[in-house]
Amino acid sequence: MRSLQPILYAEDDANDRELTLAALKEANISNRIEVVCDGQEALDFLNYEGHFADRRKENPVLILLDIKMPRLDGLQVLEEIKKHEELSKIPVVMLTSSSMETDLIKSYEMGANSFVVKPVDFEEFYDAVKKLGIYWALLNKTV
Amino acid sequence: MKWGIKNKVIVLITAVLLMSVGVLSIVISNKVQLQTRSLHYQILEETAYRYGKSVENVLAKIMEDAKLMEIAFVQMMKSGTHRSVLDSMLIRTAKNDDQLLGTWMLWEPNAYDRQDKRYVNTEGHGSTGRVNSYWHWEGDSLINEPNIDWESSTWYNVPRERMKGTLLDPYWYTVSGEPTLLLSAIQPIIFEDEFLGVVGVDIELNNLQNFVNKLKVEDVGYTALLANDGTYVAYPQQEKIGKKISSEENEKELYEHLKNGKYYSKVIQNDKILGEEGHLISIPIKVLNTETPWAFVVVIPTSKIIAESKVIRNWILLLGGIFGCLTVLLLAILVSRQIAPIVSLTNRLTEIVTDDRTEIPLLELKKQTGEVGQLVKAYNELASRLHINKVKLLGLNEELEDRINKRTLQLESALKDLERFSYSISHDLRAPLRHINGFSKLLNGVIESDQEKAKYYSDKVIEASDKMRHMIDDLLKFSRLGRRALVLEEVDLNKLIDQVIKSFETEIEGRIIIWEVETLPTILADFSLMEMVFQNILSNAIKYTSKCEEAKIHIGVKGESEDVIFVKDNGVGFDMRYIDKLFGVFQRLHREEDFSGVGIGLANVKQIVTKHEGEIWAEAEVNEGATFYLKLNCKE
Repeated sequence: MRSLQPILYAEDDANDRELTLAALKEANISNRIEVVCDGQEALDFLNYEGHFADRRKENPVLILLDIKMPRLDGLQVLEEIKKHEELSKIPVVMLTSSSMETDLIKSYEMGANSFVVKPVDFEEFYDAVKKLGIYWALLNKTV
Repeated sequence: MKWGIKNKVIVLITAVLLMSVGVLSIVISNKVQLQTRSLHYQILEETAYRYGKSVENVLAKIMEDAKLMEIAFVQMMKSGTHRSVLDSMLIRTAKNDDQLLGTWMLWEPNAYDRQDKRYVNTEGHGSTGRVNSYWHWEGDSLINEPNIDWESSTWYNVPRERMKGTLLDPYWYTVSGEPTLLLSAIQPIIFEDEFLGVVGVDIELNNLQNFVNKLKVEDVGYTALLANDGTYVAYPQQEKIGKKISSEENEKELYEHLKNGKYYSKVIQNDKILGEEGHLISIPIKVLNTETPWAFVVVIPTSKIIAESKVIRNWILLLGGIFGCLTVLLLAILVSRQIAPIVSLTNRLTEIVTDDRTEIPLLELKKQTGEVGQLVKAYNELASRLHINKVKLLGLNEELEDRINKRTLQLESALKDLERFSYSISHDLRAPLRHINGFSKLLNGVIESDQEKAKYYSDKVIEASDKMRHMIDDLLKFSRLGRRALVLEEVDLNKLIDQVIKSFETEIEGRIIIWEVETLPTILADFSLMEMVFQNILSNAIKYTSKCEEAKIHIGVKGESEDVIFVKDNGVGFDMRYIDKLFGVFQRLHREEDFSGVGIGLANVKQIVTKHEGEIWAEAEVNEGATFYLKLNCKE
């Protein structure tokens, strides 16, 4: 059986990472989660550069991007992804800690597929990620 | 059409001048005309008197003839001379004076020789036998025709009454079958106050008439001779000769004067002879001791009199006109010279008012003196002051605009900062809260099953809440910094840097850091805030060089301008693409795992520098170190 394509998850905040991963685990998403700590690393992963020069040749099935990150932020990464012919087909979900409209509008304008406001309430966030996971997992199987 | 001041003044002066020259010319010409006229009258009068004298001489001559005979007759009577000698005397007189038509005498009865009876009805005598010969020319022969009907005749009675020489009024008499106008000069024969008779001479007035008619007055006038009773003796129109003066108003007046032997002068509106207005002068002619003056009249057309004066008047008017025009021309030139600066002043002033130029032209100060000169000077003074003020104003405007632009930029950047700030607050303050919430829930799940994990999650909660407290404290500090008033003083940066470096002593123990500190200027700043600035920048330099074996931190002055200070390190640097995040609140260019920190330090630095009206910027390259530049106000 061919192993499932990974989910790329870019997040600079360690605590957020831990909490998000915990939520994904709860959602029974069996895809491997590739975690990077900022936008630059996310692009390096996608382009097989830097630390990721030798990784296996496969594109992630889903990209989760935190909007606010040091160096390159989520929007800048999204911009780069959408410029790339092959990568632009990968669904991108933006994660944001605020519901500030400007960020959401910008994300959609730039071609984000969805977004999740990182809720202060863990349960909400858990539900959102769980639903997303199921949806994308199903989508993946039909391809 | 609009009239300029120049034209107005010229027109005004011209009008006044022409008016005065005109009035003056008219007055002078009238005066001259009057003078000329009166001169003319004088000449006319003199002429009239002269001609009158000639007539008088003629008349006096015949009066003398009569008088001489009277004297001779009285002598002859006294000496008892024969009465025939009297006739010889008459004949001789008649022959001697060729203007005489006849000579005659009439003695009172027996007045001469008491021989009247002897001569009754003899030759040359009438029935009375009195001495009464009347010798007169009939053609070439002299004939004696004794006088008759003397009792009622004027030629006898008038001299007898007057007892002196008398010039009779002209009368018509038939001579050689022709009616002839005659004049008689009669002398009463008086001896010892006794009237003895009369002796007289007759003349034909034709001669006198011809003489008078020949007299020309200025070629265009005419003359006339009037006898005492108003009979025309001479007149240009033949039909009037011998007739009496008419009773018309003019002539009546003339007659009154003539009768009384008075001078008379009159302007005749429409003289019949001249056919135009004429001037009449009547000169009395008094012959010897007669009481019957005649009049010699001259009439000349007024046009003739005034013609000459008109010529003179015209000359005066012409000269006046030429003089006036020349004066106007001269005045126009003078006035335009005087007014030219005023006109150009007006133009300049209008330009200045309507045209918003900086350049204000000065007027050339020629030789204008007096008020115009002062005006030009005053204008120039005003213009240069205005110019200076305008330049100043423009300078001020530019400065103001600069300041406004600067302020706008500052405001815009402050607004941007505020936006970023509020973004960060909403974004970053949620993170620890979220973590507390999340980890608390996870803790809940393991609190009974897994002691170790529970401890881990509770530490996470504590850590997150600590972080949140820090963030809140930092934010409070940041906002207090913004509100804080500057206490400016002279700050010696050398001392300040020394002090800051010393404060890191414990922190950098064990590390190799090579400090290179140049001589730094003294600046005008708030000491404690400036200390915070360098504490932050140097702390960053120390932090980001922590992975270097040998850290190098260089503090110096950029170029020649002393007011730009730099802090250069050889640390990890950063990607210039993220430069706009460098000075934001809670913005980090590095992961927290690599370099700890809240991310508010440089935001504080920027806020302080901006407050000092300074500037801060940075240059860096990944792994090649970073350089921070600070532009501060140096002490002058």
